[in-house]
Amino acid sequence: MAIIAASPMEQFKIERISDLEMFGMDVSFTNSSMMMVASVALISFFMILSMRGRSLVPNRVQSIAEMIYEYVADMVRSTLGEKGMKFFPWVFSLFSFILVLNLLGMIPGTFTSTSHIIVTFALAAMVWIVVTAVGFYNHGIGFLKMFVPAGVPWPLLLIIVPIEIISYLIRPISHSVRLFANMMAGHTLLKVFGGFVVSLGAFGIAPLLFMVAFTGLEILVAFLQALVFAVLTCIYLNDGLNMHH
Amino acid sequence: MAGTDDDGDSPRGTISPAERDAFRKRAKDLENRLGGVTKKRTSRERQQRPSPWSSPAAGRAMRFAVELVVGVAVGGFIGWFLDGQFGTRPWLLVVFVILGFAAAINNIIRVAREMQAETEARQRATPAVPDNEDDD
Repeated sequence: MAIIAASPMEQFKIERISDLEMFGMDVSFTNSSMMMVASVALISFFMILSMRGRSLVPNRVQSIAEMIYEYVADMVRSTLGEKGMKFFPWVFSLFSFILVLNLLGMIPGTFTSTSHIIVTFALAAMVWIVVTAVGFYNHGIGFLKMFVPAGVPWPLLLIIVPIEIISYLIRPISHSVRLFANMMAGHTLLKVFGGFVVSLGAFGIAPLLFMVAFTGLEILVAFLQALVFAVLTCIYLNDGLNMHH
Repeated sequence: MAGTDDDGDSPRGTISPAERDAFRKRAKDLENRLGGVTKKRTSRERQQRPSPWSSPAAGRAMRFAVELVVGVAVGGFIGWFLDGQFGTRPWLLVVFVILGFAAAINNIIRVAREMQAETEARQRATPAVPDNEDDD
């Protein structure tokens, strides 16, 4: 009962599994890190094992792997074009990593790494840095022209350039907040309603039914947010590659 | 269409008019049923077409709502920080909240435009109604 009576935010608590300190910084292996390692291991095992047969007519497991591959490949190709396919491994890794982290978090008793903004912000910041680097690599200093739309009279530029710069700067934040907020809100709500089920006794059937439906919705959200993250990565990457406004 | 084009006036040896009428009725019936099924299937296929953008509307709305909140918050933070630097307490905050809002709208429009271009390209690539009429 003590566990159920705990606050809904209890599930987001980071717990150290083994203490570790490096260069004066606390880099302990936590439950969050464990879920990430589990996620990477799971993806690797699944992909390697499912594709081991490499049969022309795929069996069930292989066709799941191929479906995920083609889904992401189609998305990258349609947003970035054929030359964007060199970013496919990266986008695919991001997508599958976030998807598996989200889905693993749906298993009761596990920890959802993506419900911590620092995790999602690290991912979003990586996307932002890569996009900026790709932009400068492909266009040189001309990448800065992205902040100066063509054909705008110069008095307006005084307003538009700061707006463009701010909108570029807020990208990693909105990118990360979206994923983190969705995951955290969903898990908190589930926990709150879980508390209702217990405290209402026989009437707990109503929140229980709601929870069944809401768990389904949460699984959809887990998939959707991984997808949205990957889609936005592609759209941002498109700025770095093709730089059209 | 197919199946009704052989109703010429010339009598055809072995089929009596009554039989032909019955046949035509059956063909018409089948056509109606087929048409119904085809229509149902195409509309269903169109809904279920696997597309990265086929997320529920709520997902899209959420995507944009977050953008707005973050835009205003970051704009406000930049303004507040610069105010502290220059000692112009409320003014830069006001300006940058508005700029942050504009930046958020700017981001939303850009993403929405890309998604729209994407959807349109996809629709052009795959005809909405599959061409199932044989040119015979």
